[in-house]
Amino acid sequence: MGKYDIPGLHLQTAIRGQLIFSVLVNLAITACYALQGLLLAWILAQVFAKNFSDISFLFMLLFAIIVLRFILVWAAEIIAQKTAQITKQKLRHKLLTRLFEFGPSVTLRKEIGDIQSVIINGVEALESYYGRYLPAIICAFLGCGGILGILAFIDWPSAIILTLFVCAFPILDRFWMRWQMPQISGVFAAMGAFGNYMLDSLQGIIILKAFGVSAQRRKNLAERGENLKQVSMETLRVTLMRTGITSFITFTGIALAIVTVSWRFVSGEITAFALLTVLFLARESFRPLDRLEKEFHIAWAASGAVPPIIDFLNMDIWVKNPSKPAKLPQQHNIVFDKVDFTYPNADKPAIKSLSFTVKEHETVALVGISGSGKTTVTNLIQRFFDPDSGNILIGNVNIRDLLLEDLYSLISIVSQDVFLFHETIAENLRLAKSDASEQELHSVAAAARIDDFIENLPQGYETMVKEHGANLSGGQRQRIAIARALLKNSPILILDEATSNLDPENEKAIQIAIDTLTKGRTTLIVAHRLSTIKHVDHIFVFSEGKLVEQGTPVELAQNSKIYAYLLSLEEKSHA
Amino acid sequence: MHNNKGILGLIPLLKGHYALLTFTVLSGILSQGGTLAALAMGGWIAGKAISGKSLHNLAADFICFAFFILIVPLSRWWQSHISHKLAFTLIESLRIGIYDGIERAAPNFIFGKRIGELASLATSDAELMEHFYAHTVADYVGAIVIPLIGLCVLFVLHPIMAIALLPFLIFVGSIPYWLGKKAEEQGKIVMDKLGKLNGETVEIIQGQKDIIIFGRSQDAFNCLMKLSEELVSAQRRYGSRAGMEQAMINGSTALGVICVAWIGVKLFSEGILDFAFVPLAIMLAGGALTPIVEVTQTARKLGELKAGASRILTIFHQKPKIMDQGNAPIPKEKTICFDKVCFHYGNNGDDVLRKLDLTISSGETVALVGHSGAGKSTIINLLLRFCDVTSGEIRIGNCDLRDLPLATLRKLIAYVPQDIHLFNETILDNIRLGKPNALLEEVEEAAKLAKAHDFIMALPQGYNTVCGVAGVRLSGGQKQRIAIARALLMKSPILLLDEAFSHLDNESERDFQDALSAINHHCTIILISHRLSSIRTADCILLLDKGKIIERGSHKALLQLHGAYAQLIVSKEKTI
Repeated sequence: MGKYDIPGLHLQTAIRGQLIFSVLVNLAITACYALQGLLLAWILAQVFAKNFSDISFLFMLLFAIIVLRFILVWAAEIIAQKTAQITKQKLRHKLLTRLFEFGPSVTLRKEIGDIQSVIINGVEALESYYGRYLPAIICAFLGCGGILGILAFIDWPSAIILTLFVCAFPILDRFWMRWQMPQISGVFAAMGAFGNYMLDSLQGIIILKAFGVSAQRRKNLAERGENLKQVSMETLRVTLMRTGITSFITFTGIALAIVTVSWRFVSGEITAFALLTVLFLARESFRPLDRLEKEFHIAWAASGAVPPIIDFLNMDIWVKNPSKPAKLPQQHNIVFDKVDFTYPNADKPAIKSLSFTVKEHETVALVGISGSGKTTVTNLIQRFFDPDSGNILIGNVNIRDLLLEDLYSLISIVSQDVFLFHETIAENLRLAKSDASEQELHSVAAAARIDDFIENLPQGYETMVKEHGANLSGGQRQRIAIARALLKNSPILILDEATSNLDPENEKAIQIAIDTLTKGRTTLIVAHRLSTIKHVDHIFVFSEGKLVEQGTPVELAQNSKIYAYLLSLEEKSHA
Repeated sequence: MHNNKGILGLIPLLKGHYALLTFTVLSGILSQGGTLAALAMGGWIAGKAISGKSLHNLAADFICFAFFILIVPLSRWWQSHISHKLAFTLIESLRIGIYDGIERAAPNFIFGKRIGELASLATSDAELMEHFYAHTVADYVGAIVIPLIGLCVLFVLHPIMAIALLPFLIFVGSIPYWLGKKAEEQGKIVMDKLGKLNGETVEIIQGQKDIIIFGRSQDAFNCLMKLSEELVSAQRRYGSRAGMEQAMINGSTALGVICVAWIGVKLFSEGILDFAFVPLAIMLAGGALTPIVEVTQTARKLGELKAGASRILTIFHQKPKIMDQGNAPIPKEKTICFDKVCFHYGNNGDDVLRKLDLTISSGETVALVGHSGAGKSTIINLLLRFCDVTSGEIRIGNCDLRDLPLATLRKLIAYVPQDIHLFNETILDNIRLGKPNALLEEVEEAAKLAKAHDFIMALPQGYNTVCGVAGVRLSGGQKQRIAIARALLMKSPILLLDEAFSHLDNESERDFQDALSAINHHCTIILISHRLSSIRTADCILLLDKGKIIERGSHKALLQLHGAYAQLIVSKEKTI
């Protein structure tokens, strides 16, 4: 069972109370079944002896037991749900805490879909294990033992026969599963592979059609399907005997017990009551095992969710808070001092021994073809990663010595793929300053040239932003980002310029808004087009992770190689 | 079981596998029937023994008992074998049927869903069906047949016992429907909460950069925990109701057995029934109820199944958009000509193209320009013959597209789509998709032209690197270059480029433009682009608006016209 333990969570301890309660209720249910069988046997024995005096009372008692069991079965389910709830919330708490500790770089290490599936589906899958399988194991032991104990008290030879079969059931089943597990897993994997091939084919169906190979692909699909069937049936040949074997054990056990007691009754060795008790309880002695088997299958299917959860929790945290945090810098120049950085899993360094200084209130544009390292510079300033060597300083304070939240408070970002919550526009603006007044919202919106747009919306500032900002254009999103940055009013600004063309009206508005924003701030612009950065103070030209040229736009236009080349590229395409 | 009709609607999906289905159901009935018979035999033997029958009398019953005890495991074994066989057969046939249906419909939407969404929906529907037919359908048939057998035997013993049990059978079977509406509501709430949690989680992971920079991690964390709490609470309510349902089923089953026992005792006390039959009757009552209890667990899924089945049937019944019946030879000359082409999607949609006339000579490079919805993509879809014109004619070298065999047309036109899909295969296989026998040299040549060769060689496994969802993560620009190489390898006389450069940086775009001008002596190029740099290199620019060409000519000529195109360009340049 160790494979279900999530390190550092102590889930079993956290839900111990629930588990004990759950076991007790389930045992009471088993006891009700046993009592029902006993009473029925007693009634029939009385009736057979022509003793009808207590019959009505006994039937009333039976009825009471059934009502009691009704309540217990219901209660057991409610307890299982409660356990599941505690488990899931605890686990999610842990996973989400970890998610935020990893920071934004987590998306470079794992696909978003995989993270999502760990946090949601993974946790959902574990509920059956903690809520049901754990109690079922204990109940199987105690429940079977209890019923067999009662039987032993009434007729021990039958109890021995049944005990043999009841024990054989899980032993053989477990042995069988262990033996056949690789085969089952193999078939599951093959089915998964076939499913993925199918999905991949469907998703690429247009291209398959356009290249005239959809019929060929269909043929492959059919072959794989046929192959899956053949191989799986071959592999599962033995595995599929399992239900046959388990029911053989159950029924042979029951039959042997009934036949022997009937035999012994006829021989006059036992009473009618003993015979009838064995008849009614033989089936009950297997019931907890049936339930365990059912829960085992559900839990087994869910066990695949555990390794990804453990993997996720075991990833190391890249960026940590300092033990002795420094005070916030009073001055906001940015210095890179011999910074080296290689992205994890990359074979080439993204930045090599990079040094530069951006003076306070200066606006600097970072230029270079994609992959030259300019975005890495902004990622490092925000401490999404730490450099492999070298230092980054803001106002002479190493950013590693700043509390992360202090560092973040110094920086605003404006980009086209800005994140907007599925909330109102006002709430999205207030992300930057939760207590901003209406007045403040209006004034930053005006400065960002988005006020007219917002006010023309049916619900104005209270309009809901759709998921992923779907009801806003790239330019509108960017202007909301600008308004938000204005509201945050931080001394450092990172501007990630839009790669694709915006409509002209938007571009003009954005340019004006940006000019307002950069005043009095230290600004880094990640520039994708040179035409928009003619008015910056400095341009840094990057190539292969190095700063290769720098100067004012005028200087560079006159005396540079790479910048001039980039400029010529752009001019050619616009000439 | 008011959903019966919907479930029966699924049957045609099994065409060709009726024998397997019949055997699956038979094996199920046999194993359930065997169980009932074995239990009844146990009761019968015990009853007979108590009533004072001699051992000699019992011997025959013991043999009969042993026979039933053997039937159960054997039929279960048979059942799991045959039902798995059916399941795998269905996986094969249903999935291929879905593939065919979507293939016929593509690139059109079905149920207004994009292909990707549809693919996963259809796949999970297919899984539901497979499970239903292989593992559930036999239980349903058993839940009707077995109780009936039990009732008949009870009726023979004494009609009153059968009449007393009947209401319990009906009641237990109908419990899921009593609580059905509540369950459906609660189920919907759970799904809704789950969807919200999923959506918000993805959004927050994507937006983490902005969230932490505004110092709002704690809020985002709380927001997710709150959504999780809401989900879990909804699940608790659902579970509590399900628990009550289970308790009711459990309780009423027991009451049914007790009721039969009570009547049996009464009948015996009045001397109507032999005591030997009383334990038998009790065992029969319990055995008759068991199969019904089994199916109540799955009854809730019937609605879901019905919806899934109808979706699959819709996909199966997709009509082919075109008929591939042409037999014209490959046209020698490759001029493309649209002659009064009208087109609309569906039966009564608005016209997307309205009497469009256009001629593209062989070797020409033509750019299609216009706002989205102007009809650019439709022209491409028609040219690829994903659909046929509503009226008018499209010709390549005087040959109507409809007269050309589809295989010929596919050789004539190479295509780089806007949404690139790379298959979970090696880069090599992805590039030679349309020409599986292409030599490595040919593939490399195409990759070099598409400016893909260098980055491919830099990958650890070069051309043998697996890409797609399961493989390496390539950037948008890299994917685009592979897609371009894939099209160039075809060496087709006509090349369609739908936003093929959107992810390329200036430098690679220019290199690729050079490559294009090198091949375009023998190649007609039709491109859609928002980039001025690509548009202006075209020999001829067609400006589309609402399904019509409103301006045509070279970049210079159109600028001098001072019309809509000039306006479009000026507005673009102003910002540069």
